Amino acid sequence: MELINVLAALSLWELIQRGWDVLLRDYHWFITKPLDIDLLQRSLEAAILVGILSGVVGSLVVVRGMSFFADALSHSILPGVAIMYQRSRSGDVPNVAGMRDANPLLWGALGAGLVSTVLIGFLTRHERLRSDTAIGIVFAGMFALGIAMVSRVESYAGDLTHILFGQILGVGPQDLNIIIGFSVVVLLIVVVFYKEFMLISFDPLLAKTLHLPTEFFRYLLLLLIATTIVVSLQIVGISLMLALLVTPAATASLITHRLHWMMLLASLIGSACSIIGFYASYHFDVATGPAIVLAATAIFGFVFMEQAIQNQMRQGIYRLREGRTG
Amino acid sequence: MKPAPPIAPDVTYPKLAVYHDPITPIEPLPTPAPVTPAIEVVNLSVRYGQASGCESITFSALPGERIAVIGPNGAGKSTMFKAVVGLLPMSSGTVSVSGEPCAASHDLVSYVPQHESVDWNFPANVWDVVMMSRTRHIGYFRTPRKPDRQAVREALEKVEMWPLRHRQIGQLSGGQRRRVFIARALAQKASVLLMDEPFAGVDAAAEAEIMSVLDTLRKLNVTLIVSTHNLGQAAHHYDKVLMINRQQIAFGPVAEVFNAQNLSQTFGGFLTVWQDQSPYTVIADDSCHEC
Repeated sequence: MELINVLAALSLWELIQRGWDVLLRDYHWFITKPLDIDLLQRSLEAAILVGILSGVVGSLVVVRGMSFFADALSHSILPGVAIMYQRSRSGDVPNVAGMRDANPLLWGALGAGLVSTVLIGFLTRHERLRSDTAIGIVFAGMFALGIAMVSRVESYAGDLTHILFGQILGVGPQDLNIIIGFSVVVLLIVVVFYKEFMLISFDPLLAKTLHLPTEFFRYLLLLLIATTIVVSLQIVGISLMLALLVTPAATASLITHRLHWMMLLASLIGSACSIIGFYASYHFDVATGPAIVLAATAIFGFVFMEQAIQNQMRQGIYRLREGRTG
Repeated sequence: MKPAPPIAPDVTYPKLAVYHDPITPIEPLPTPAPVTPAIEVVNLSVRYGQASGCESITFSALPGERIAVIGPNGAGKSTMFKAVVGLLPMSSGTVSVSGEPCAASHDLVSYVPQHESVDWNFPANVWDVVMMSRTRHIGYFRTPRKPDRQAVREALEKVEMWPLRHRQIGQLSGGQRRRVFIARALAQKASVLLMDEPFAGVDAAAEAEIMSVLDTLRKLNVTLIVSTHNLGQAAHHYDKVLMINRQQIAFGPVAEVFNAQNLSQTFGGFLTVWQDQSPYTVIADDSCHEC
């Protein structure tokens, strides 16, 4: 095994060196040229922030098995987006907190996100319905409502694509400020209530016997997820939001066995994916959202395969030591 | 949780169990028992809608006593435990801990959940899991301090899991996993532990391992209330037995309540129990006639 590992490492090293040479030679063309444009630089900054944020919050989503909820929530913010979309088409943009230039869809998404969070939270609280059923009902209903609303606007197809799959190039200066503000608040809440979130995720019964306000923390977590989704909306869009939350966190969970390392690693992977996706999108002319998600999926696949191979090798060696063959 | 029929069809007892050795009570506690019981439950009832979870349960335990709770599946053992720690609302009855009445739950009582109800892939190691029970002691906006770390260390040493503290919980054996959960209750400084089926799904070695931890706890004056399926173990390793089948059938020292009438009443038609003048108790599973 050692020999194979050494060979693999050598060839990988050679590959990296060659790549690095190319990179150095064309450094300006490859790395800095996209950043000359203000808009692109802002987009990259926003994407990195969103990568960090969704890594941290996504870790909580993954360990609690809430990926269906997260997917549903990202789809059920569509009506809010649609309302703002209609109003912005007719030039009637609300002035929220003096941020007139910010993307109006963001506020709509935030409102709808809060409404559907409370709705799903309420429906799943009493066990009259299975939670996945309740989530499914809200999810499908809200999504259909959103599509119906958008379809009333003429020539909506192009804009709908942006909403569904993200429009990273629409990140204005105020949008970036909003993303920074929300990211700081969400990260701060996670850090401050880290041990409570961990306890409630692992063993809600113990949390209850210790008299922790479990319902409060449940809603708080739902709100954090909703905020993360809304903030990330511009980067990857509604449909691919789930990947940003789940894939980096799942990759991290393969590597580490402790929640705080998982969060840290997931945000590292998330922001790395954002950077890779950003440059891939620029140089190969693909949409940014899908490029980011594909980068995340590729990293997950690589880690998963690597671990599977390691496992096989370990078992093989175990068999050899045991003197068994085949 | 839906109320199951009184006699569950999937009871997992041996088809025929013969106890050749007479029932001998375990050695009594060395210290003279104090007057106030560690936990006292009077007339506890839990109802779900129309069906009853468990009905008029009354028992008490002295510090360090070990009580077995036996009954068929769906007899309301878990329901009773959850009501005592305050996870389920009681319809009637009182629970008092160390002589003090407590309406809902008490810091001194800890519930050790069933093994299946835990996500063992959770990214946490042994240390993290035990530290979780200190969440309340640590308080909001704070990180663990020295007393917390000390409590976790002591708890892990008592169950002999200190060397494995960096292990991810999913990589532990069945016996070790249960010991971690016992340590978690100890770190909480609980004096009464309610353990829901700690012996379900473990092999004989792990069972002995858990039993030795329970013996250590007995020396530390921790009261244990353990639900179990193993009648032989209940007869030999516990001070008292509480028999439940939706309602309380019997409660008392093993030698007094472990008789044919109580056992067959608890398990319905599933068990046939012979007990004549000889010291042997013979228990046979009634479903044998089908094979």
